[in-house]
Amino acid sequence: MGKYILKRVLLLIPTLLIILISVFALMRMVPGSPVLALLEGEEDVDAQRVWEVEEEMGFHDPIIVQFGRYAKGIVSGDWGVSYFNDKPVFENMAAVWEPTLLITAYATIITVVIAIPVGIFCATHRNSVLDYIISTLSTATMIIPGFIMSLLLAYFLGFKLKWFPTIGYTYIEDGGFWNAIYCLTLPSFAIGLHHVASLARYTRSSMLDVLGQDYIRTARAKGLSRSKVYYKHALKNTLSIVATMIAGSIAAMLGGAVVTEKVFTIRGMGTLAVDSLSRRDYNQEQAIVLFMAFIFLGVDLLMDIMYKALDPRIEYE
Amino acid sequence: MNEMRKHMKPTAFLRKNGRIIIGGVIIGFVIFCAIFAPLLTSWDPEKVNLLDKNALPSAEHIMGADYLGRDIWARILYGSRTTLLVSIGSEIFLILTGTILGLICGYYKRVEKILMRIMDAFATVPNLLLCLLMISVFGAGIPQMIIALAIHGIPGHARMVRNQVLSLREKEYIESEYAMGAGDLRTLFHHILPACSSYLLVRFSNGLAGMILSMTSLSFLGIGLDPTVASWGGIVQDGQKLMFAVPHLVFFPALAICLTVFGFAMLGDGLRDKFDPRLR
Repeated sequence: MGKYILKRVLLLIPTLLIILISVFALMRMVPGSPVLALLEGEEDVDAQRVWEVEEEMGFHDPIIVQFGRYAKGIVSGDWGVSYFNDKPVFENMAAVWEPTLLITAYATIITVVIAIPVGIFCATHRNSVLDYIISTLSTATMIIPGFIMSLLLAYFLGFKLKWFPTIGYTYIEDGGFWNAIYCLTLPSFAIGLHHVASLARYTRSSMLDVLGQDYIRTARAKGLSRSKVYYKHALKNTLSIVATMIAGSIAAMLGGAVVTEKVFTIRGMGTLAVDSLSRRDYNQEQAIVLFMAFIFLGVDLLMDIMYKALDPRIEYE
Repeated sequence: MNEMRKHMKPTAFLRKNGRIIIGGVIIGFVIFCAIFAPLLTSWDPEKVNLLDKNALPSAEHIMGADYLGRDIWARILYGSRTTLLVSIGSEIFLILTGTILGLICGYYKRVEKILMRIMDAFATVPNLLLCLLMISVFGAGIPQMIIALAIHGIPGHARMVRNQVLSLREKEYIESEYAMGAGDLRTLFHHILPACSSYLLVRFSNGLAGMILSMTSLSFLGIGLDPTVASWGGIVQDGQKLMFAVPHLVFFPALAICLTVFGFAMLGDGLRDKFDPRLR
């Protein structure tokens, strides 16, 4: 197990390196040099002055040296300064990460809690009326884009029924944990429902796969009751397959937060990403993208380790 | 096959092809509307008419008018052009690039290792954020949007094509092709690519539904297009502020989006079952 984890962590290094190189290259393609932005306030700027500032910022070093400096900065936590408010980009993100991560976690819980039982039910009651109804409903949630789902929930549950707030977010510090969760209910459902459908389908088909295996038939033939076979033997193997799927949907949920936050006017990472774009604040933008990529890699790693723990046969290719 | 079709009962035919027909009719209708938009409405989608501000659906404005008095039906019609152009364009771009990369990866082991790592890295960033980053670097515009939307899906598609190529290479007829002295390129384009074609068709139509979702999400955020250009996401965004008071501002464009996504999803599912039942 230890060897597996080590191997898995070492394999992260090339991926990380490539992410850094791609983002670095992308940032170099940005039209308009940041030097000019820095010099905006100064009078009589000539080529000489631009050259000096560029020299100061190390723009004339070999590209590999520049990349080395950049990578070192990322690793040591110095991610640069926002062009918009001159604060470190990390500080700007720290101010808004809370709602985004809470929404993602909340939406993940909603997805798992609804999708897995539903998927298992559909698999064990295959081709029943309920199976058809559920699969039709899940198609319905899949064709509704996140922002329309958000608007629908805001209109019916928020505006018509007045069950949940449709606007804004109160930080845990100000309103307590449960209040924060309450504020985020609609956005989390808006994101979660979209993923329930695909996860439920996936659970259903993996459960059916498992149920078709020989050892299940053997267990039944030996006289084990249906429910024991389902919930003791089949479920365990299904869950280990489904676990990997969840990691993938977390990245999509983080992305979905961008849109949902906008609808519910929550100041989170997504809003920050959209705002940075309109301010042409590339540094902030790349920091958010890198941060999300790191979260994704972390979750992916955890899931893989869990998968291995649940199913020791797995080998990493 | 033809013999069988002759004897197929109409109900069985419908059950088999129902989804393709439903999806095809919906998509055909949407594309018809996009092409013949000027014939279907006499309103100019950009024309501001403050007298008709937030007008309810009536004989004059069949879907009402938005906060600037612009006719919503006209905006949906003209908006379908940008929405479809960008979505279909980026799906084509995705399939082309992904297929070429996948073919290369399936054939040349060394290139494969590097490309797969690069693709893994790309898959770690959420799709919408990657689009935001690309558009922030390359600026707004239809070509930029097409590329930005496609990039996230390319790795997954390339990987699927690679897997297909790897399994096809084991087949005897490919081996015999080599034995007869055919080169890599000839085998690739004469045998392997045609063998993948049904998969590619299914992937194309299935991917379109997702592409419409991403495209409308981006334009809902007001990103990637000139704000004056009508697009479905943009119409929803315009109506969102007034949604609680006048829900029809959001209802009709949202309906258009869902209907189109539904049409593409049906078409994709139907084609998948017809051509590639293994993918079910």
